[in-house]
Amino acid sequence: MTDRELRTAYHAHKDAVYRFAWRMTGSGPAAEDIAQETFLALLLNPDRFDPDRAPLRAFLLAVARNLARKQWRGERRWSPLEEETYVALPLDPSSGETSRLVAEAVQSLPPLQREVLVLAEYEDMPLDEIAHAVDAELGTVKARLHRARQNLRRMLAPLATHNQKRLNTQWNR
Amino acid sequence: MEPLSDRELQELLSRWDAPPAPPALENRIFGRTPQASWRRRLLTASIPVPVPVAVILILAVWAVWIYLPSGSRTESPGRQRVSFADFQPVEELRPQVIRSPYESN
Repeated sequence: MTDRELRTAYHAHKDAVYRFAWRMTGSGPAAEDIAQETFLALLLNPDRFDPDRAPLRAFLLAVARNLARKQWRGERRWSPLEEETYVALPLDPSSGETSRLVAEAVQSLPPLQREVLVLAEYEDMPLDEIAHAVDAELGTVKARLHRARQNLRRMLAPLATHNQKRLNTQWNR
Repeated sequence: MEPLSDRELQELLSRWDAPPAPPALENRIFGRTPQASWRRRLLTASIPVPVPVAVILILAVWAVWIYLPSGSRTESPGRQRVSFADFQPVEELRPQVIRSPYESN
């Protein structure tokens, strides 16, 4: 891969890779490290990318996902990645800003649910590309996404009610 | 408490923005890509030559080699030829025996 090709790939996908890493790790420096390693992996092993299998974005996000997962495993060695029985508790809407509470809710999801949710909701990736990026069957991706949305609905429901009440109060004044 | 609809959930999720990639990331990536030294580049550099051009060049070198006079190929310009024309045969041989002083006879 030439320097020019790498630069083209970088400028086309840097934000998607960085945003994904940032949402998965919740840390700017960690996201920078992951994004850097992702593009260096493309430079050093360009043969690993097969354009017939998936687009470049899916390939890069798959590399970033593996790096984020490696980091996560390093930090929480004994926690399982997938928690099918995980049930999220509703958040307290008075404890902070909406954006921070949403971030908290997404980041509290088990990693395998979080990654499919981030790719589907924030990166608008089609399900087949997500399946490639997370190295899972399409049915598994759908199931994880369904569970992630259910958990978020449960966690964020008080927030919607709280916001509605606040809007009604402002409207009545 | 009513469960959130898809639209409500998406609306809430959209509140959480992620920052774009910082400009420093580009320097980190492209500053770290291995840059070969000029000596290494000189030794390993290659010039792509189209096959027809390469064939023409090889044929031209071959033709010059074949059609050049054979004398100009073997002789180097600085070297002089040696001639034996001025050498004359010896008329009378006078051998002289030199003995060591330690010899008895």
